[in-house]
Amino acid sequence: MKKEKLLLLGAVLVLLVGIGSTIYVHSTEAKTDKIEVNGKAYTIDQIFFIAEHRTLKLSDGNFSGIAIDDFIKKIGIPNYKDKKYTFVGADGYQKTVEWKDLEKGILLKNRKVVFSHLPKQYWVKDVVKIEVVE
Amino acid sequence: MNKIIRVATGILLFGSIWGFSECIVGDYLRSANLPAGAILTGIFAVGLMGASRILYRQPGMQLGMGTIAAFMRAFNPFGACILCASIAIFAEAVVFELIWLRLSNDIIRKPHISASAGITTAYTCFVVGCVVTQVLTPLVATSRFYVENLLAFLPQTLSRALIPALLGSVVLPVASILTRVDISRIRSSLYYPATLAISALLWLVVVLA
Repeated sequence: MKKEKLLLLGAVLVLLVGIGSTIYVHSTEAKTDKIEVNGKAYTIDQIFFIAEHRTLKLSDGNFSGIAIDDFIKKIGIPNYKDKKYTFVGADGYQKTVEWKDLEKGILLKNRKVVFSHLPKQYWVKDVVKIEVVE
Repeated sequence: MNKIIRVATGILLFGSIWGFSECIVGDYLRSANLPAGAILTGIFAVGLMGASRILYRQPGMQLGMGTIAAFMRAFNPFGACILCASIAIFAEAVVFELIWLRLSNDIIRKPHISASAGITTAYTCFVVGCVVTQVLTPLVATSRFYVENLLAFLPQTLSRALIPALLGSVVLPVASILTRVDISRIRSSLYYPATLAISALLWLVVVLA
């Protein structure tokens, strides 16, 4: 009887946590078509105009976008090689990478970041912010 | 001795079905833009682990199934991140074993209890699987892990786990029908060739796919 009550209680609890988290995620979702980089907002067209283009040939297809390392260089981030970069998605998902990773990464037109050498969990979708971390 | 061999072949069979679903069904789900991870956990992982636990009543069996499925996932290098998927599969098996440590078939027979067990098991398996991969994959792939990335990901994981939880609430009551089946009554001359042949076929499809 005690086990049954615990199971019921556990099920109600996880459902409440799930519903609460869903409300939180939707209420905090960023709705913007710009990408904030080091405090300055850019449209995807501006980014594609600034940076050189790069194509990654991967086992699951070719991906074309802009070279993120080139973009970071061109917008004048000081000591860019010593910094870390956190890509933040509209839903809050984020991944931090180093400069050497950016050299193998591209930003697609649909604001998805792709790295040729990193697992897919690093491919942040709907990027709204690139934080430069000391 | 006979029971041990029966359980071992059961591990091979159910683990192979699980691995097959992760590799083949998972790729179809992903290409159809469906929440593959949530569906695989809610239906296949929880369904197969629950069904095997009810059928064989053998704690530890699901850990073996998870090992087989994770191993099979590593043989199929297409679709989503192989490393993440393999780690997640094994983590789900560990979580299942922990939750079901004190659960018996008598409890699972009641529909509202099996639904509750399905919700709790699927939700926890999904969340822990996601968290474990978010910690281990960066460590294995880059030797770096940032805790702030994990904390930012938690609300999303807790939210996305609702889908497997709801699926688990249906799948486990369906699997609980198997409490009436006595696996030891199946003739050895039928049981062993069938389990081994199905397992071999599933492995062949995954390796050649």
